[in-house]
Amino acid sequence: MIKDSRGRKVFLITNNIFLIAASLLCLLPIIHIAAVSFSSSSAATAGLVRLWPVNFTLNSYDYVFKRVEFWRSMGVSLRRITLGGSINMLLTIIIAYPLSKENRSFPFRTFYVWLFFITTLFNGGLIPGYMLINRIGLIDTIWSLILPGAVPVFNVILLLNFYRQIPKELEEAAFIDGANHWATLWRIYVPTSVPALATLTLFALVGHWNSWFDGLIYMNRPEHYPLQSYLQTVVIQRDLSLVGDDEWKDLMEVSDRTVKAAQIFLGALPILSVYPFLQRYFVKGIVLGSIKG
Amino acid sequence: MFRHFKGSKKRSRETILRELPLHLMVLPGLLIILLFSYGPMAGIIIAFQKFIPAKGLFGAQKWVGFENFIYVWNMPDSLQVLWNTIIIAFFKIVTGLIVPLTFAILINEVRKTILKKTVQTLIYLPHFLSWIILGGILIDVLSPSNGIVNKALGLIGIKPIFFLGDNAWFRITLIVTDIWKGFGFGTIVYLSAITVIDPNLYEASIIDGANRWKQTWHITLPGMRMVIVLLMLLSLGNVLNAGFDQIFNLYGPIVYETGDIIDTLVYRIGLINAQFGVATAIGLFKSVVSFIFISVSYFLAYRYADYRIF
Amino acid sequence: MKRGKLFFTVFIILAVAMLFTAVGCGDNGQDKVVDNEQVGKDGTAKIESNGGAKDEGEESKKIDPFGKYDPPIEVTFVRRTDDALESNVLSRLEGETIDENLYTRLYEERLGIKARYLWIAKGQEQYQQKFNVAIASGDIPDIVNVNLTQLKQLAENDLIHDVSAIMEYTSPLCNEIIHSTGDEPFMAATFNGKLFGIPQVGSGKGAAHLIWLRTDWLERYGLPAPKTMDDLFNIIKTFVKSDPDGNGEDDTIGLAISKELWNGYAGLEGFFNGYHAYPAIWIEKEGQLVYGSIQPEMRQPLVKLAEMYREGYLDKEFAVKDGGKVAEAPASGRSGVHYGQQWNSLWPLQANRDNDPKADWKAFPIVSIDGEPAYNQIPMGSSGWYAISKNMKHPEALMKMYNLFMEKNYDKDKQEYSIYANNSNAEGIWKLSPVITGNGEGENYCLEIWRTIKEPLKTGNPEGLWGEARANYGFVKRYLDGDDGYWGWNGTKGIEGSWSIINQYNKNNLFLMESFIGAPTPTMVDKMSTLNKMQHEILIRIIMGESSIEEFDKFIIDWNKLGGEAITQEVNDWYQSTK
Repeated sequence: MIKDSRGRKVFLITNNIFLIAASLLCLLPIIHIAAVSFSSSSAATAGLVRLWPVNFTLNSYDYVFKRVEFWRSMGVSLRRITLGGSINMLLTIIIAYPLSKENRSFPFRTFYVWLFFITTLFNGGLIPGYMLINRIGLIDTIWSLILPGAVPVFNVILLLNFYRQIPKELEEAAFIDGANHWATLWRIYVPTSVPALATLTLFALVGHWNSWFDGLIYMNRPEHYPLQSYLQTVVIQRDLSLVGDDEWKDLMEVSDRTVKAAQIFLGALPILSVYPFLQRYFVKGIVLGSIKG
Repeated sequence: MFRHFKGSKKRSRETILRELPLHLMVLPGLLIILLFSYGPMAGIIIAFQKFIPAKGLFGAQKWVGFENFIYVWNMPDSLQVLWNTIIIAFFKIVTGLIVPLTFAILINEVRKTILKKTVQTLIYLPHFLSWIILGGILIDVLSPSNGIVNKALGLIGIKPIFFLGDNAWFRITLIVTDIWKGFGFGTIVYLSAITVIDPNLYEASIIDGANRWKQTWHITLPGMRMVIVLLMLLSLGNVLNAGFDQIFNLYGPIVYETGDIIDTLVYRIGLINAQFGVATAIGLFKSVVSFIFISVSYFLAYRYADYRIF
Repeated sequence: MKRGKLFFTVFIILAVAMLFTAVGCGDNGQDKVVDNEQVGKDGTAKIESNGGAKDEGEESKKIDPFGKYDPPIEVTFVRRTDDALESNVLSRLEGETIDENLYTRLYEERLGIKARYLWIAKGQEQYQQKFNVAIASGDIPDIVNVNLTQLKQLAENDLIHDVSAIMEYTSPLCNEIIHSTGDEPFMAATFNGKLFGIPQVGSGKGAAHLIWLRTDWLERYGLPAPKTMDDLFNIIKTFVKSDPDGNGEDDTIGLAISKELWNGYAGLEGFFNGYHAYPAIWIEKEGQLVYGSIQPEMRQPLVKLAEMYREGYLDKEFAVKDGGKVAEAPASGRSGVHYGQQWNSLWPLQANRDNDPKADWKAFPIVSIDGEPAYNQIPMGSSGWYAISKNMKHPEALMKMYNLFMEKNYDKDKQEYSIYANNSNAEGIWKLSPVITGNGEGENYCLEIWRTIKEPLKTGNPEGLWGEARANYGFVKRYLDGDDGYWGWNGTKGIEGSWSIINQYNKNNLFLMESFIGAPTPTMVDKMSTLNKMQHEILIRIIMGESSIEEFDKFIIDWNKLGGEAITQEVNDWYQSTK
């Protein structure tokens, strides 16, 4: 390595400071939520909590930990991301492979790609989707949350572009060794696209974790809501002009900001911890390594 | 269609056999989208009906042709709303490409692995908070009387700005807060694209005496070309998506003039009555516009740059 | 190019194929419905043999309000739940679920009605969404709770029964209660002379606005209870200028208002009512219905609000804060005046008390700008109706369930309230019933509770109290015995609580009920959202001083031009049809 110039050093330091500042800016809301969740309910209602708990208490966590609904929904969500995430990734990997071929070697690819792509732009809307799910008996099952989005087209397109960057020599060599398409995919393509696959896995998991609308529509019982659908019913703003004779009891119940905050915080934790874990696959040189190996 | 297959008889049996595994790989996904995506597309007919849920999807709904489209078009503020949508969406698309890309390159320059990983993780946090939550926080942070942002601006002699209640500032506030929420997550794809670049290229350029700026310009950016162009093109699909959740949680009557967008308009129409016909018509309109934008740029890229995005 | 064509052809063929497949599904569905009907008809004859089946044309038709079906029938429902039901009721009752509980057992044992839920959604908005989607796909439960819009759609599409006939099955108690709120709830559900829904009993009186004031501050500055608008302005001025929370910052909000303008907490209805203006509702004027928001009476209060905003007696930032956000101000001691409904002491004011034990609030009647009394605008009491699907063979089952629910909840002789309504360890257990009839003795139900517990609260002797009154007595008593956590209860149901003010309103007949109670008219459906946006925008702009009051006149012209006139016509056509 050449020794760093003076200007380079200044840049590195400024860059570090800038990035740290940006990171802190992104950290603040989470800290705020955490602080609210550890504060007393009345202090939170009064909007007194900033970045540090006021009247520290574990009441809200005590409450959430005892809430069956919360844990049940957490369970549904975990099931959903495991099942849904694996199906997403499996389909992404195998669909992207043929579609990454040149037109010469697979003329149908363009047709297929557009067929897939159009689904990202057009959809029939809520009612036909519901009818279909209902008719084929998926309503109120976890499959209603997994199958309609089983092909993450955006991810497929990203991955096929990554596949295309893989040197053709690798593939040719494999074919000469007598490997077929299937073997080439798993022995050459998948190992060489690890960073891309890590990214797409993250997208798939986050996508499943964050979606809430399908849960609300396709599930027939609140017990079957995934966590984000459940949280949606908790955090939603109440229309105070329509508070009926008995509804304010519900209002008091859910307007407790500390409980909301605790649930949001706990609800985000599992998925937040995925990325740091995937980061180790973001290492430069993996491509090179596999070529040499 | 049949003629095509007759023509293709010329293709050798061998070719077909060779392609067969490729077809088989597409097949499972194909069946799924045919069933779950193309099946329900029949429901687009709702856009041309005065749709009443009680009659059922295939019931005797009243056909109204393009009336739903005309209805929205004739609303007194439809042009304003369309313009708001386009301008907010446009700037979100542009900043949504540039900011994450810049951050990816800057993060790539960091040498200390721990710092690098920490920064990466922290900036991706806001993505996981919903706009309902962030809305409440932003009202405090941006408050002209005691918000921290205005206090900081006050230190350098700038008068308090009512970011969420001033039509001159509302769109800018939307765009900046949207970036703040999403850039960290957007950075991830670019980072993964950087990791794919062959390190040999850098070593070679160092021998040639290139400095970091030149390396970034001549190696890193071209190495990410594929991802940049791809994301740019795909983001065109959002030309009419200005971000419902965000705006719905931040706007109010005072900034309708600059902040009311197609989706919030449809939402308010829907409040009065479940107007599925209008909602579907708007959805269809948005789809067609996105489709046109993407297709045109796809073919332009192909014809003039010989570059096939997908 | 060739490939392009192929792609296009295949796409079209696929699309058409999918269309037909989908239509095919629809046809199958219809066949199924027909099948069910056949089965249903076969079953009918057997079941009806008990109560004297109409189908068999027996003259000796016996009407028994509590007649049991033998063999039992299954009736399908859909419903919503909420957090209060889950955490206050279900989690405290071992082994009880929404599907299996004391109410489902009760209906099965007494009436031979097995309730089954097709689906359950949590939350009001979610329920509406799911409802519309499910109805569109043809899943209509036997008995369903709907709003007026939905009721009208179902009726117009011939999907529900005319329920006039089943009114014969009402028990005396039920009959008394469902008619206690007047004819309006029935009028609203009558289309072309046929009744399509049984209303849930409710009262709009609880929605009347009151002035909520920090009384410890009033005392501190020696201010009397407001008698006129000027008194109120003086109170607001004093609070804003005197820094009552003593934090040394000029942060006290005068009159707390929210960006929604019309709201159950920090709304402005009561303020406008003080000027004899009735925003956002239809009122009668010289035999015609007119829209309150475009009447000349709106001008004066708007000018006043603009003045208050300019002088700093309104939150400069109210235009971005919804009710939930505004609620932070009183809770943190930054606000001492707002207009709101009777429950405000429970939320959000209780939080103020929790933070500051010295804080005290009381509700006062709204005041008038002149010598004339101020009338309080209120909505129609009922907001939900039960409709019965055409596929249902036993429409009278609904009425029987009404009868039984009322017996268990409101029959003073039976004294079963503490089991079926507010069980001591599961408050609100009545929500478990698939059919909820609403308040007992609708019109003055909550008011009556306040009246009943007033004396016992003075004497400390709850003897003779029953039902919800007893429960409420307990809550207020706990505050009187020193438990500050129940302070909010005293503020609403206590001797001098907010209901004492509603009682005054009631005694002096100071309510003005919304006059248009029909389902939304066609032009309303089309234009009301645009008109509301316009209205909201101009009012806020005027208050904030961004538009002058002259623009209000332009707004009235625009409002009429952009559909308001047509709506007014339709509303009056409806009004004439009810006479």
